[in-house]
Amino acid sequence: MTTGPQINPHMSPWAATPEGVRCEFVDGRTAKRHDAYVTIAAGEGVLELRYAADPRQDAWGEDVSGETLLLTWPLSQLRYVEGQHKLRWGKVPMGVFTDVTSPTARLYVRDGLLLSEIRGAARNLKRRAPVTGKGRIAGLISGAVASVLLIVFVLIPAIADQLAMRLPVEGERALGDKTYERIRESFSQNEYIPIRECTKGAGLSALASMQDTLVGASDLDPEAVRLTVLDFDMVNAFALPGGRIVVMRGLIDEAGGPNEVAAVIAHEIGHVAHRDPTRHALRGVGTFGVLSLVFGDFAGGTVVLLGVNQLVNAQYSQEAESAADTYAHALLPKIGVSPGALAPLFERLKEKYGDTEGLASHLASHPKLGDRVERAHAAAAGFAAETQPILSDAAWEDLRDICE
Amino acid sequence: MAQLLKTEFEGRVGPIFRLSLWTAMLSVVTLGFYRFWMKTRLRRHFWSAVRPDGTPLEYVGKGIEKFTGFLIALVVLALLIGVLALVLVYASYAVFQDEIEAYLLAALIALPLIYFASYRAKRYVYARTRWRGIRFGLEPAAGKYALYAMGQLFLTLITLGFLWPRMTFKLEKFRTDRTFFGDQRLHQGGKWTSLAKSFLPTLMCLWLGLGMVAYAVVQSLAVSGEGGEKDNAFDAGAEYLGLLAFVPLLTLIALFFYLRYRVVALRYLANHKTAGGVGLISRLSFPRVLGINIGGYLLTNICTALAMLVVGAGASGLLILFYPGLSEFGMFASGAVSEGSAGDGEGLPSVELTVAFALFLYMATLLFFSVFRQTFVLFPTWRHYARTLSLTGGEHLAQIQQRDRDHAGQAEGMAEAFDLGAAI
Repeated sequence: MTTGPQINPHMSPWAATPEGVRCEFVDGRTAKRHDAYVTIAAGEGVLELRYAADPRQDAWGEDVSGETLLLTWPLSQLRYVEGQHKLRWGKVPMGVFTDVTSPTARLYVRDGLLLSEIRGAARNLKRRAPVTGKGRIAGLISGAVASVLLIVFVLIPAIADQLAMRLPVEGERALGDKTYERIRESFSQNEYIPIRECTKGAGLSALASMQDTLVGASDLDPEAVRLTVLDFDMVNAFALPGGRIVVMRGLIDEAGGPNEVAAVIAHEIGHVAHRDPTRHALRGVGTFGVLSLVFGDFAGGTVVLLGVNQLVNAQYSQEAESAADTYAHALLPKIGVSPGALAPLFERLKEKYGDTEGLASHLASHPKLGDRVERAHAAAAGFAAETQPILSDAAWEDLRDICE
Repeated sequence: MAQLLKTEFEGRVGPIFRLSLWTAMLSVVTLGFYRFWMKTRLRRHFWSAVRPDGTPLEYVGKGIEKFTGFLIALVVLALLIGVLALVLVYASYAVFQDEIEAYLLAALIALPLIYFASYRAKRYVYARTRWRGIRFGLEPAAGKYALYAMGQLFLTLITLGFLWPRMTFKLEKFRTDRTFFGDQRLHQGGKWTSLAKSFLPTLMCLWLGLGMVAYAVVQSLAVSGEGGEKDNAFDAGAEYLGLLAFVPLLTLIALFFYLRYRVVALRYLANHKTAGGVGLISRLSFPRVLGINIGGYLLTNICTALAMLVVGAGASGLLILFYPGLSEFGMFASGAVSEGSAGDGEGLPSVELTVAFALFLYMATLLFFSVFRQTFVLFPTWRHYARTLSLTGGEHLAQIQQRDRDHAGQAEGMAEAFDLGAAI
């Protein structure tokens, strides 16, 4: 109550007003608030609370009222209610205290003098109850982390692999087209205009001829692969679900000849043949869902930002990369190109960016570039025939100008 | 002697702003994992500011129990969301060659889960709230609540929103009738029909909007049906689609009336709640709530923009120091880098740094927005709610006994995972 002292209806008018400071008190058993008179018996190290007992019936059925109860709280057991040690009541501080043996009881102190006396005499006001069940919490944390890791790295990939093998071609194409549009939008400087697809007529027919030669020599359906060039600086090429292989203009600029481009595309065709992009895209769907849960970012801003980057710099597993390389090494000789054609571009990139640096170039960021160069050379050693350019000089010039 | 107990509100903008800013910063630094403790500290602060009859409410929840609850929910949901998302997207592409169907189905599955999670979260919060040392409580019935809500939602949908007030009332009654203060069960009185009148303006806006959309669609279909050439048909259809230009205005009007409905409903529902002989009186004012929301969000947006300008300029300064190539962008260098419009090349940051910068700016914007919203919208809203609330029949409180502690095991883990009570 904010008003002055009142006559307590339960207290007998003949009872003497107890000594001490009037505070509000609840005993933690009922919602009744008592006026308690509080004194500090510093010598005995206790806080004494006196308040009027509720009327009750004694053993003989007689109403008993006007009793005063005395409660003693050892000062060493006095605590602030957690997080309530800085409360104020208007301009004055207000203290909410409890006793460790009756943790639901509350004493509300608004009297400045008593408050500072209590703060001076009680030493353990801010001590917290010891944390129980540390082992249980540690177990829970490690169990949860292990489960989530298991889901992300074992369960989701396993299911994604199974589903990727079963996805019909039309579905795969649709998934690839969605991904393709997303990549074009996110790499664009302008919010509304996606990156340009390069479609200059002569270049396009050079590209088509390269596509026909490569796919014709492979065991894939002629319709299974579509080559696209995007007008972007990055030295990069990647395969998308449904067989679309995107070559960035930067790669064509950087390449020393058509065979180097063909070698990179052959590697990507290897990914298409093994359905790596579809598998990867499906994995991404599951993984990003889980990640957004972990970081509590249901709006998904973080995940979108990281996700697009992830799509393009798709790091397939070491085995998937090796398998795609092996595929390319087998495919290239069939069209009269040495598997070693992959090497010069890598070597130039390595010279330019170093083995690990240079994220501008996706190819350079593939793990163990040096190893791949060596393997390409090793595969080339078995290739006896004369290397023939996959495109004529004129067609190669056309391809280089495809984005004009 | 019926005692009328008024509610005081004791709190200032300064401390809430400092607490909010500090805990939000800790959350960002810890990649969001501090958010459980942040929420705990904010709740303690807000609860203790509300003082029915001068006695502060108490929030006794712990950060660690929220964290462990979240971990449990995480495993369940990771399984559900990870695998389900995968299967749905697969099925959607396999059958429809698109992904919208997957999202629709996922939303349909998520809907009852959201009601389930919100009930669980309420149960936890009630179990950790005390007043005069007495615990509140909510009976465990989350599954039943989710089913009940789905039924109500179905009725609302097939009546095109007409039964929305009934849903509001019934769901509130479902929860209130299972709420306890100590050993005293609360009771929701009143009738849903009393809410119908205040929902009428919103309903009219909704029906008008639906009618306009339906008319436009039917007309454009009819035109394209009889018209021979496709281009003409499209043009004629576009004329009717022009009607749809009114939809944003209509939405704004509907929003205004809906906010009014929410306030009126809240007041009505509060005024018809009782706990034994104790009742509630709310004098919630719609103009005040509207003013708080408009002014609050205006201030929130202005302050967020200003704060981001300062942070962005600071970050730009640092960037230019390390990458002189960016100096032409001046104080907007950080923005240019995060948008990727700075390009790449010599003397410019790498792709990784660009992504990191975009993340940093995104997180900082979210942080400031939530802090300012906390300060300028939530705080005044709580203050208004508290100051307009009184208790009647205070003398009956003496008969209310303590209740046992409800462990409420997983805290609000699932709601946390769904980012429901994003506020506090």
